[in-house]
Amino acid sequence: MTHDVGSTNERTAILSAEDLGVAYDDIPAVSNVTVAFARGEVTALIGPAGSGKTSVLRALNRLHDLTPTARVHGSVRLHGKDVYDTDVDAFEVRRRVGMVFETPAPFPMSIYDNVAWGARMHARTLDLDAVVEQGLERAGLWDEVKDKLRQSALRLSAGQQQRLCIARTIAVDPDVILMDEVTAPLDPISTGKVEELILRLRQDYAIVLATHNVQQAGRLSDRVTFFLVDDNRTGRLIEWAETDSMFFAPRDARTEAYISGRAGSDLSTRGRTG
Amino acid sequence: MRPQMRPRARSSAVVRALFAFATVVTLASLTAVVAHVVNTAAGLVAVGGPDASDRSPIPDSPVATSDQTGEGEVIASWTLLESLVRRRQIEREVSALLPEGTRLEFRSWLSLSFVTRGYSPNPLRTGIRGALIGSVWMVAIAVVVAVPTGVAAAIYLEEFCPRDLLRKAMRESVHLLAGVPSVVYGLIGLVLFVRFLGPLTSGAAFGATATRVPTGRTIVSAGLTLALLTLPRIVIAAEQAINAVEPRVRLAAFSVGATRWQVVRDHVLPQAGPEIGAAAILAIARAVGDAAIVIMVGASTVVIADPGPFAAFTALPVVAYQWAMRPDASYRGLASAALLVLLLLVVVLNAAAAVARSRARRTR
Ligand SMILES: Nc1ncnc2c1ncn2[C@@H]1O[C@H](COP(=O)(O)OP(=O)(O)OP(=O)(O)O)[C@@H](O)[C@H]1O
Ligand SMILES: [Mg+2]
Repeated sequence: MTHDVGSTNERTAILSAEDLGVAYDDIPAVSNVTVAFARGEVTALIGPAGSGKTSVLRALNRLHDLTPTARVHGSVRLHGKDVYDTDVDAFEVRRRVGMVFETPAPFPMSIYDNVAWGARMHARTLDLDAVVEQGLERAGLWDEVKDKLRQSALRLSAGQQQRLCIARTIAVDPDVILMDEVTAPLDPISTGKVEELILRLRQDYAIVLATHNVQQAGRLSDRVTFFLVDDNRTGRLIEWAETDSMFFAPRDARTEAYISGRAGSDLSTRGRTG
Repeated sequence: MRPQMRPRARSSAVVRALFAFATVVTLASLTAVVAHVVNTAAGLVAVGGPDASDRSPIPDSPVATSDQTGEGEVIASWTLLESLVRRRQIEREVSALLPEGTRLEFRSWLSLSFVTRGYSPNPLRTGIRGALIGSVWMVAIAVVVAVPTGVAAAIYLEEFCPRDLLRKAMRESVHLLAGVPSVVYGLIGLVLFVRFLGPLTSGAAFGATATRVPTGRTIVSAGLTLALLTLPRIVIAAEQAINAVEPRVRLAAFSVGATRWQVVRDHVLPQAGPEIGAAAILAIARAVGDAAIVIMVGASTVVIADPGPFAAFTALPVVAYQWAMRPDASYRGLASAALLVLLLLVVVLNAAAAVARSRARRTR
């Protein structure tokens, strides 16, 4: 494994994983993952289906606690503190390490309540109206929904629902946002809006973005981690590097094969904004 | 293509006919039940006048109203169908065979006064007031006790149970309990509520006994037994409803830092609630017609005063059972009328369940 970007990144990292592994029913799905995420950066997790991207993301916010068959090995540090220590509250970990899922999962409640629910839970006295407005504003959804805040969130389009889920995550004031294939089910225009949003949020959070879409990783990320299953069908982190160096000078032949195979000639046209 | 099609079409026709036959059998048997009850719940009766009967068992006779006077004694009765198609013949038989002064009148055993009147030894004046009150009390107690307990148990099993093995074991035993015959629950009710918890269920501990000799054979005991009978079904239904809550909504809620209780309170219960309510009502509606448990717990034959929770009691299925067992024609009509009231109660409960279900669908 290569840790060529470790130096700067690890010093500013908010969240880091060391020798992290996940097993289901004692069968390892992914192992030996060492990686760190810093505020102001988007880190893309790329790799073929089943290489363990989702498993790693869920280990970062202790979501595996809810799956009885899942076991997590190694350590995950949030601001230097191991989140799996016995004195750490998993619920607080999940507030500070938010997660947005592939399928938009708005609560079957009003738009307002979707954003307010989490916020209300964590701080009773705060001005909820302001939190909701700010969350929706930052998610770029305010203008579209400000006149129908009491309407059910299920009536929004899939793209709007996904941005609502991001607003809901922002509203509980996390440090890290994990995004698992968040644009996979969306049409190109909605995808574009979510991508713009990710670039806007980048400066305030450490964003970890699992994606199948190599071009998307190229457009959005500052660093990339590449996962692949080994001969034992266990996911491995093959390479972790700055996006530019990974795309133009991958160290590992397998990385190069994956990137060029998937991205093809589009690689040259990728344009980074933000 | 064609030669292959024909045998398949034929076998599918056979299968379709079998299914249609099963449906017809189902509908026919349901219709038969209802038709029989309705058929015997009303019809012509031959009433011997008070003077015609020499052993007049009627006690007092306050205000008499035209056809529901309750004067006299039922000598013979006919079903609704007979009364409609053979009226002439019946009239002739009555005047030829029955003593002078015998009136032939059309009587619906089910009437408002039948529902509102208490017990009377005269079948023409008796009613089910006590039994109806007893059954309604039992439903109320079962709802208040079994629904919260069942829902709480299901939430524990689904959301909080620490070990998978424990969860599975408990789920299996709940399913087993749901299949135990009601007589067994009746026996448990007798031993547990009537005997062991007698001081409580008789109301003696609260100074609220309603019987001369404090006894555990009260509405509270019967209601608690009914609750016990419905509890496993409610747990199972609640477990299914909780499981039907979308996992991604649950995950999303946890991902903004919610605790298990917050997820249950704000997402699981609101989504599963109407479904649980509907299933609970159905379970209780099914149980309210069960005579076995009520008899085991010690229903009285005769209840004079309106029963309170700690009173001796009776219930609709028991009354219907007792009346149906009697040889006199009039009591068969009364039994059918009592069963109709019971059916009506079940229909009302089912309607409530349907309303709850449709609410569940609308919020989705
Ligand atoms: N709950 C689970 N129980 C058992 N095995 C699981 C579970 N979740 C994932 N796996 C297995 O773990 C491995 C890694 O899956 P994971 O979902 O983490 O990969 P991924 O990179 O996110 O894939 P995709 O790109 O398809 O989303 C796969 O082999 C998968 O079958
Ligand atoms: Mg995945």
